[in-house]
Amino acid sequence: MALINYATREINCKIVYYGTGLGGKTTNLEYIFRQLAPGIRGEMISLATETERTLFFDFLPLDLGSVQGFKTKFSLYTVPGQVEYNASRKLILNGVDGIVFVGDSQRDKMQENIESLRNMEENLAEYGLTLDQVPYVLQYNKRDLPNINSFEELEAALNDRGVPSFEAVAVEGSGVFATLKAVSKAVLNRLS
Amino acid sequence: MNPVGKHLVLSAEAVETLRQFLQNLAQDCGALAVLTVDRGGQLIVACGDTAAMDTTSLAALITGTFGSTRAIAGHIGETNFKRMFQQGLSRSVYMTCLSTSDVLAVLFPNTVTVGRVKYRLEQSLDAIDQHIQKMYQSHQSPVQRHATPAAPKLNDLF
Repeated sequence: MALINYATREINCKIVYYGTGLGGKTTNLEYIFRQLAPGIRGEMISLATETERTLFFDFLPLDLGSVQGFKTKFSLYTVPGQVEYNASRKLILNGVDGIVFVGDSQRDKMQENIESLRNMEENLAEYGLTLDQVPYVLQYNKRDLPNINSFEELEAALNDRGVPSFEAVAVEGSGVFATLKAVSKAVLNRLS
Repeated sequence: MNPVGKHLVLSAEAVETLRQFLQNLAQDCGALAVLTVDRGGQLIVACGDTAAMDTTSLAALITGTFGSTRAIAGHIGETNFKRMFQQGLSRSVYMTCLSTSDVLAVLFPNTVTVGRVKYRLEQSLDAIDQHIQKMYQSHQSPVQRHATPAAPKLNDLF
């Protein structure tokens, strides 16, 4: 649910990075944080455990500047991927405008990817939403590792809607901005 | 509850009216600042001494902490959880849930009692709540054609 303020001429949108535990959601935000100038991004907030696993969420505000006379701001969130933190995932999805599903390309993670995607759909349903109503894109992360599924195998298993999908090595930044750009465009398109 | 999947479009007049409500509340209870935050963590309107505050991050954290505490309430069988008080040494926060599921947060110094904040808030809460309800009901039209001109801008940024 975007917030459009005609008094300040601002548009605020919420984008959530969803996916399995240790799939690279926080790594995406950390790379974006490092690469963008401080004028474009705010401070990154991570509510994490002592072992750096996301406990509640990561948050990174972006200020895209003026677009068509409106100051456009995105709030990027990650959810905790671990199965037991579903209550937190559900909370973070509240008011979502766009989703990046970060899939782990490793062969032994395929079932977790499928379950996480299903879990995301269930949590969206709690807010009366389906994936047809929320702009979303897929990112297949960890393409540099051995024993990974092919792009075609991942598409067949995870992308039955044919949404934009991107191969990534988030730890090196590959594919990170392509993914962000795609979801940003999809969110702004939905506002039209 | 506010409508699912719809955008909250705020007119300049509606924002000004809300700002006036919040400004009056801040003055009445001696608050440092008063914020309204939507259920997704976006700041709706803030007023008071917010210049030195990162209100964007504050809004995200207020929604997160209120939402998680409400979930705790649900786990212990409490279904009517609407208020939350975070007490600090020099500054405190009193939060209340609106009928739209948005959150109103009052930040105040320790020179002000929480009782005063609660009392003043209760006096103005209905009017604020009704105004925000009207904002959701009155402005659901989509914003101007926006996405296509955004594409080159996104290409530049990312």
